[in-house]
Amino acid sequence: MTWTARDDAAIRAWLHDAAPDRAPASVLDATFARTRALPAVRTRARWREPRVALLLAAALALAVILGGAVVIALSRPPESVPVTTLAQPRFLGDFLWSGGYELEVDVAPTGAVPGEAVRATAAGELMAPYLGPPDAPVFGRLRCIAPALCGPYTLADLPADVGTADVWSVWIVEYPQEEAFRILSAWDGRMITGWDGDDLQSCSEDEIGTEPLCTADTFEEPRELPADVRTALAVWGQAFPYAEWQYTTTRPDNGPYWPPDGIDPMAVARTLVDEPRVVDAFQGELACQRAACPDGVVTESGQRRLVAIVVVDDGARWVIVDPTTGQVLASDETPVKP
Amino acid sequence: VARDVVDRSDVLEARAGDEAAFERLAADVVDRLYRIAVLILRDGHQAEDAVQETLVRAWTGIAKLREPERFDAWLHRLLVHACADQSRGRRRFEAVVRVLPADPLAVDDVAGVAERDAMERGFRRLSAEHRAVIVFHYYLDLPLHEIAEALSLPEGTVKSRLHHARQELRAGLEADARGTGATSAGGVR
Repeated sequence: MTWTARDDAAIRAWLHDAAPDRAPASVLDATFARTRALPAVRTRARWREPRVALLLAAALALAVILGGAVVIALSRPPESVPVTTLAQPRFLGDFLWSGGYELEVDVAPTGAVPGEAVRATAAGELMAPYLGPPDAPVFGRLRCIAPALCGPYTLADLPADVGTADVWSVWIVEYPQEEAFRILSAWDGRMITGWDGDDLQSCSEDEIGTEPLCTADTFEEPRELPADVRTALAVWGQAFPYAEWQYTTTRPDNGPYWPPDGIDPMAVARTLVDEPRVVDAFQGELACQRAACPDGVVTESGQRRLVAIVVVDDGARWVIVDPTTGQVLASDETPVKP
Repeated sequence: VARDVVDRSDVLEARAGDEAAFERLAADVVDRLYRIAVLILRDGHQAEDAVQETLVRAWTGIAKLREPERFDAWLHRLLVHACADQSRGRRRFEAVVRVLPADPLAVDDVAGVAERDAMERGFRRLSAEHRAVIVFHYYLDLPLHEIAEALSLPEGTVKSRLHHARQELRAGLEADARGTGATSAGGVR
């Protein structure tokens, strides 16, 4: 099982073959629609520039010396002021919710979880290796004001115990040194999301399937077409090089979805195979990639067509059916049918 | 793979909040990002979403970019994270049979199709992390230290991942070849 130079060349060639030439124009269109809707980007803080930082440091040192002298002269200890406001609320607003959320911060924390517990959660094992000590946690309410921009979870996705229908009660823990923060459910300290300087955090691998926020039915392993069917379709695709096949199946436990007013592809399969034993079924789309595509497959460039693939008899037989009309597009016996 | 030429002055202007400069940057890099995302995710729609998310995060985060000359590495890191998010959160699973050349079908081509299909399957079996390291190494030809930077990993971990990804790919291809009775076992093609 040794990896050889030939393997190097093969994988390199395959990657270049498999990579598309260009991104669809819609990617930039959609991106710019979003970026233009965002508030103006926060420019780099002036105090980070070395010269400005040096001047600030000198001014700060002078202020400390003068302040200390005044304190000593008055013989009065400075009063401690609790930190209960966010260091950079604009930072949170800009980065966390892409302008979709409004954050209302309470000066006096009143959440269901004590601040110390939140501090412990936020500084726990998961984050400690790469985040420093958190600043004082702050309690607040998060409200979605532009649903199209709210994410990665919509409010409706949250379990009822995390918040009301339109407002989350949250703890916000900042790590000012790293320009990072975590937002935790005020009810039980679960992390809702956060920013570590590079990426919005949602669910870690460990949390998937265990954390309530991460148990949505979205983490199933892909199910693949049987190998012989894929090969047959690849060959068929070569006969129809204008077409791109894309199979989008529904969840295995629910089974494929067929149009309610269409024809059951299973029934079509039964007409082709005596007493078929259906072992699998997929639904997907066939897209025409060229201006002229023959009638019967796809008729218009860019158009997608729903197809059903029914695999019977342990994969030995298969049939591709238009589930809206019952037309057989191909089968293992007639692999090319324009 | 030729790197897209990114105008450093655009990076600086975008960092200062110039939206037009950022849009020029995005136009310069979008094709490269899309190619990488398609290879990692093997799904055009998810790749579109990942690229879009990457560029939006780039716009919101570029003010924090401390070293403009590392814009490419930073962008790759954002893309890898966006791909990981897409990979974790996908709500559907699909197999894509890509567009094939329009040449007449010859006997040799049938074998070639099957072998490319085997490669596709083998590559899909890799985790998104392993795909990413393969793509950065073999498609972008990035040196290890740049891959490490893009993946936010130590260089040693990148080496290890590359090794394991190759082993996994080879094992998958050999198992596939045994399962289908294919004759190709001396090379991945």
